[in-house]
Amino acid sequence: MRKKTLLIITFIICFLSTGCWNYIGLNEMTVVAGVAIDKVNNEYLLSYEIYDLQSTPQGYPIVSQIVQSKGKTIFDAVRNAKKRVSNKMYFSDARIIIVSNQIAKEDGINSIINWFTRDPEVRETLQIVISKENSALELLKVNGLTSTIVSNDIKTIVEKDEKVTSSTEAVPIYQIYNILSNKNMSLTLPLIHLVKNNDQYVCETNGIAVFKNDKLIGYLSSEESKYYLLAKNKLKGGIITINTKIKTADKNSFNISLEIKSNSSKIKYVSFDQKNLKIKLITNTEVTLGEYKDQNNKINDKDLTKLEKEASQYIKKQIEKVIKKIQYDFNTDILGLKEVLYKNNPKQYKKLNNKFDKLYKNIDVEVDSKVEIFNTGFTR
Amino acid sequence: MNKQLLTEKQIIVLIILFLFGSSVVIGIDINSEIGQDAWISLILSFVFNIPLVLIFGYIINKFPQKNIYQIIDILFGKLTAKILISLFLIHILYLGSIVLRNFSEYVEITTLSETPLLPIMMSLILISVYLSKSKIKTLGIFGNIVLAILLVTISITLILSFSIFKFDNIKPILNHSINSIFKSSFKVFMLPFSELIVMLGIADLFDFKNPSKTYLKGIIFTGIILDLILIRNITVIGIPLLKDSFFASYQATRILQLGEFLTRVEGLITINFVLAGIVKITIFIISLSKGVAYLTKNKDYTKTIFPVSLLMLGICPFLFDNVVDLFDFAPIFGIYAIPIQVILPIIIFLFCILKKEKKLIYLD
Repeated sequence: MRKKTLLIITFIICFLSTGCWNYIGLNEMTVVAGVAIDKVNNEYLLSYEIYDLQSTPQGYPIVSQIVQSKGKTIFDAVRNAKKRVSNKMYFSDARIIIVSNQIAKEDGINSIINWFTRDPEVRETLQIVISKENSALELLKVNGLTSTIVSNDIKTIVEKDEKVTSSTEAVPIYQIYNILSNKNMSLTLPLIHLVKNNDQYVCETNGIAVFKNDKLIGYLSSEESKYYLLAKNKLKGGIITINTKIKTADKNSFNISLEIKSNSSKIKYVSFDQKNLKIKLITNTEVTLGEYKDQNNKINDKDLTKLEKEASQYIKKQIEKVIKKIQYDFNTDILGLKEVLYKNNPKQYKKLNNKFDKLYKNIDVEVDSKVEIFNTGFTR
Repeated sequence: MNKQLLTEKQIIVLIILFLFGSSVVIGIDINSEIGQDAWISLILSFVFNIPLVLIFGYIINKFPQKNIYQIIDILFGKLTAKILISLFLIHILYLGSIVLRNFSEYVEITTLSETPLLPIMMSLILISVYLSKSKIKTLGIFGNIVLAILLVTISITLILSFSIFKFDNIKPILNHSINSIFKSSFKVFMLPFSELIVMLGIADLFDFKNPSKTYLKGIIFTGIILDLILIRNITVIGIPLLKDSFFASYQATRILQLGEFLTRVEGLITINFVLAGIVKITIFIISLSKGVAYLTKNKDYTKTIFPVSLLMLGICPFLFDNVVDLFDFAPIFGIYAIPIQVILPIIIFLFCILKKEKKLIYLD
């Protein structure tokens, strides 16, 4: 008898007190695909692209909707969205955050990064991009070219960029946190703008947004970004077009394209005396000849060596130009020269640590580029 | 033999799991000062641990199938023994509650943020009570299964992390002063590793011939794996985030993914922590209840299991205000722990040597 009552009591307790406090069904949440952050009248204006499960007919791709909310802080705005939507916002599947360039310029992005790294729902692999348009919302309003959800589109464009075109660099949010907390490094974020494509505006990457501390101070164009990434050893693909004069009888120059197969760059500390810090940058690029215009004169081995020379000189020039721009126009260490010094020459770093910011503009970066053409594709 | 005993293999497994259970804690307090050199200090703290473990082995060897309470009683006489045992019990009661709180705090922050702390603690401790009430062999077998799961998940995360490994994060090696590295390794030695003394409380259930060797095997195995995990964390998430995050392993595995196909591996880490935590808390509870039973002259320790675990559960909510307090307190607690976790075994060891000739040892 006693055992039976005990058994019944245990069952009752099991049924009443178990179950999950955190249980949310799929029908009870609003899944966020992307967030655009603007600032209007000193308040954050957050626009969420949400998966619209209700108005999607069966068999069709999921469509999205835009929900907006305002708040004094990011979290405040996120919770205020509940006033409009019946369900709680679910951020675990969010792909991208678009930040308007005004916020990045004036307030800095620290306050934005903080909530998104602190909240356990948001994933660390989230991407943050900067909108070059007047507001971040504009990017969310357009239609994606390959998918109906524009946030997904932007994320894949940015992430796959480095292997194909190398016009921008994807930085997941955990790395942004690391870079912002590390005094030796400076942040860069992908830049997105709108372009007209077949009478319709679509998103396109437009180089890199350069930061000093957590504030936006300038942009690098797509072309400049390529050589910046090449110098930083982040380049994995892309095309280099150079203007060459070889082999044409009338000495007219023409463009050829070299496809980058692999690249490795190294930054080396050379010497420091009094006021001059010398750093050497060695790049080694392997390319294939992708496009060569001259049909009548087939290319031969000698031409290839000439081309290699021309290409390496061209790359060297471009890198030097970009580094000058970074040093003089931005005066921010996005190449991570200080970090390289810290990692490879900790003793020198200790000596130079305090002076580094003053020295930075006059650092002598010697570029040594090498290009190897190892393939010409199907034809000679 | 009418008693059920743990075999040598099972004890190695329990030692590994016992130390693993704390890897939640060492994930943070080791990294707070010395950043990328943490893995060196982790190795150092294992080296510190070896003499202590040899002492444990010596003691167990001298008193086969006796637990620490009986040993203290034999060596020190009734009154001193009672005082020492009470001190020891208070210490491990407190320590056990910290461990329990730590685990429930982990579950609360990472997965069940809307669930109150108490149900999480209750469900954790109920399993531990069930485990400790069953015969000790159950714990041994449970340990084997848990370790298998643990090793599989750890190797999965290690393999997955190869693609986003940034070996640069570990440079510059040995950039911090040797002093600070020693300090940090001492902290780690104090908090999770010297906690192994709790295992002496269940030493009467051990059945093996070469305790020192067994202990060493367990320690070295744990050392290698914990160090691998630490290097994984450093190279995957980088120093600044590692310093700021409470549960570094969890965050590191959140980043891992195999294309779009296999993501959210962090669930595995939660399983790891909770399973290892249950084993750890169970060892605490058995050890405690044995001590209380010994003090109250109760022959059957299973009767004291429930009161002891209730006590543990009762202390938990009052230990810390919040999670920051918990992690700030952890290194300070290391200093409080010195008398019980280091000095007590050394004293026992010295007494063993001194009283060798008198052959007090083989009294029952």
